[in-house]
Amino acid sequence: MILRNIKKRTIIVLVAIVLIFPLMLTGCWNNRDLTEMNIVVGIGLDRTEDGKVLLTVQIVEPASVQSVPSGKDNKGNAQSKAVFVVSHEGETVFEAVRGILSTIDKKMFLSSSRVLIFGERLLQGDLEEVLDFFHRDHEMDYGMDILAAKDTTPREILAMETDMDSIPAVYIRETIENTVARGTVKKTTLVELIKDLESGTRQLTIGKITKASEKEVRTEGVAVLKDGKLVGWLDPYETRGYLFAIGKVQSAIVNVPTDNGKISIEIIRTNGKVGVVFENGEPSTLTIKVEIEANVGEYAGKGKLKSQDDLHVLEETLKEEIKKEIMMALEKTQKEYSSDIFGFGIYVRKYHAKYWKKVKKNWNDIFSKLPVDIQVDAKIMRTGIIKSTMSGDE
Amino acid sequence: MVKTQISKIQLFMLLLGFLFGSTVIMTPTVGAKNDGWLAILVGGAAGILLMGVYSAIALLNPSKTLVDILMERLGKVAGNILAVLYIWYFIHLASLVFRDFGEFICTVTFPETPMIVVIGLFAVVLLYAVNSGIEVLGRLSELLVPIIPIVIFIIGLSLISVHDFTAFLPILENGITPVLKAALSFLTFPFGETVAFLMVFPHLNKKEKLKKVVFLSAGIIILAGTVIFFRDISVLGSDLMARATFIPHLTSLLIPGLNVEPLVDINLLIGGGIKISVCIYAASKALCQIVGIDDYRTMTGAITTFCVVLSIWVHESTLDLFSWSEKVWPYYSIPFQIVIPLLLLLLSLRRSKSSNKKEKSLKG
Amino acid sequence: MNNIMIIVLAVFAVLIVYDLQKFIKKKVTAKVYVLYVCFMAASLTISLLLAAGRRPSPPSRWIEAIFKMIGVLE
Repeated sequence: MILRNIKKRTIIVLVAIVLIFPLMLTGCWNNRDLTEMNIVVGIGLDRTEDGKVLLTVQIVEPASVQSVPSGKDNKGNAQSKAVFVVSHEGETVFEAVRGILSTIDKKMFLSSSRVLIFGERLLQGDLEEVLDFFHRDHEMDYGMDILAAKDTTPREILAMETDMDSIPAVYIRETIENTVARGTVKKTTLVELIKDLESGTRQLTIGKITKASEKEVRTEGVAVLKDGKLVGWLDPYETRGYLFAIGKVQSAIVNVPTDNGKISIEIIRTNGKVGVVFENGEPSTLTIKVEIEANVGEYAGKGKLKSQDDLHVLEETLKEEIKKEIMMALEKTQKEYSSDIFGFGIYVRKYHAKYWKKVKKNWNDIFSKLPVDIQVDAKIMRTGIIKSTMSGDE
Repeated sequence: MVKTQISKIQLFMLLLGFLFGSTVIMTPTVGAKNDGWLAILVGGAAGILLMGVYSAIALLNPSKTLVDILMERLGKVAGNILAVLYIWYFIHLASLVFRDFGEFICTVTFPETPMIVVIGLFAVVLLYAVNSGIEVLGRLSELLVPIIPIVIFIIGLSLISVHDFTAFLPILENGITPVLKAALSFLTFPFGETVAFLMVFPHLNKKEKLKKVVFLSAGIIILAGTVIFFRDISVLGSDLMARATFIPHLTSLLIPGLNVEPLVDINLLIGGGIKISVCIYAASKALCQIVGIDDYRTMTGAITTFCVVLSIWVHESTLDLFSWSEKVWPYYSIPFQIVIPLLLLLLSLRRSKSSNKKEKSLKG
Repeated sequence: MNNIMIIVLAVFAVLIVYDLQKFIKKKVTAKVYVLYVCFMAASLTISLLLAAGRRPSPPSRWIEAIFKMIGVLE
């Protein structure tokens, strides 16, 4: 009798549990299926002439992304476009993000965004204002790449159709990866931007993007900002000097002139550190220490690398070459832009906190007037699988 | 009635889970900015002492709960009043942890789900756990708490993108005052909150191990707190850290190519769950002891409901919750966590000394 | 009377029925009923007020006010 009672009870409990499960399986409060979302891969931000925020988004049409290389699918129909680009104006970024919904069909999914491109006019205003949304919103990917568009608008770049990849934003991101490997563009992620903007110890730099042709973009150089406002640009060589100084070069090709020809040296490892020397409680010199390991990549000329001495000579010239690049970047930022993008301020704040508190507000002016001491330590490791150039044998 | 007992490992895990609790997402030392690690060490040292006081009280009054001790040492009237205040304190604490949990989930994971739904569902599970008894809670924490350090380690992967490990410099940029304030915060949250364990300690099966268990768990929390602090400041930098709503969550977002954000939720579910369960258990048990009801389970339902309602009622917004926890909570906690326990310790010491003397004089 | 209030009432009804049937089965003393009714009545009143959009001043504010009166906080 008791046994039967228990059985009855268990059955009732089981049925209840089974009935409750479907409730749980519906997932979150307001779940969104993949087919009900517009997947955003690229975001562009600019200002209109009357100071409003102009938001451009590049949205993927998942059904149209195919691996068919030609412009036609199997049946010979013209392939529909893989992405579409929409713009909208708004007083704030968030308003524009929501405002876009008036022209597109589905809600936007922003976490998948790979690049964020700022327009020149926007950068001339205060960057902090527009960045707050990207910081606050819980859907943002903090690792997304930031770029600054020069001589073009974010919309133009995002609307560009490229042959390399069916999704332009992915293509742009890949070019950044490539250029980073050449040391001529700084990869800036959203989180780095937020960190530097807040600390005030290092001025911002953002990778530059330009139009190379109708179907190609070029990511090279950086935009220099001061207190969140654009003050100028660095060309690829200056950029590389800047990156050498802060130790962000992954690899690079440096050309060194020799007596009979040119040598291209492949930088394989670098390490850069900036510091400030203090005398009597006041900063006296800026120091930059760079360590480099390199390989000989190409000898375009009639010379020959015979002995260790040749390599030493080569190392010396390499040092000079790199010093020159760093000097170029430093002089431009000191004299023209007066913006401490190297992060000497970070060093001062860490090790001379009292002094930093005093000069926090006008550190950039002090930075501009300080002399600099650059030390480069270069080491050439290997010379490749041949010893001499083809015509170099005597 | 068979007396319920938990082993020393279960108590250890329970303490550990309780201490991790919402500390996992809310960093109490955030006011000290770069000197958070100093605040953690100072506050932690004081926290160990404080937990030593609690265990000393428990050892001097073997197999007596907080309510018994209050009644015995302070008399019936004062004891009853203080016991009622403690019940309120435990309920308030549980509701604050509920709110922390709700705020976190609603800010980062389910922004459009009403908070009451999140908290309510969580409360149902916890009510079930509390009703199963303190042994089950002990076994549960034995099973789940070891996950917390693993998750902390995984989030530590975010360090691979960091090159600069000196982000905690300069030391004492803003003087010693913010450090001491943050240390007080860290002392009252989480260490002082273990006063709720005075309702649990009597269940430990081997009393002689109590001190060891308490000190070990506090030591581990200090160690973990320091490690977490250095991890977060290296990854985020001091300015971003000061601005973030939930610091460890932000750190977990920064691991390149890996999304471990839900792991923070798991940590909070385990730690916060144990904390709330212990608080509800302590409140129900104390209430039933005062009124003279045998089974604490009769009141858990009502108390949990009240906690949930209170958690919604008590603060208007995240900002309110945070500023209140930072400004008012430490001072509000001092009488409950420090003054009354010290008083109890003194009274207990005197009593035991005089009884010792009596024994001696009898022998002599 | 809005929708949320009805939901609140329904949830409380379920909770109370669940607990009461346990109480009756266990044959608890009158003390339990008194305490239970106190807690549930407080919870129900607050949640109904919250649902109606009239949030009464919460205990955290009282505590803050007390501390300000003593002079611990400014």
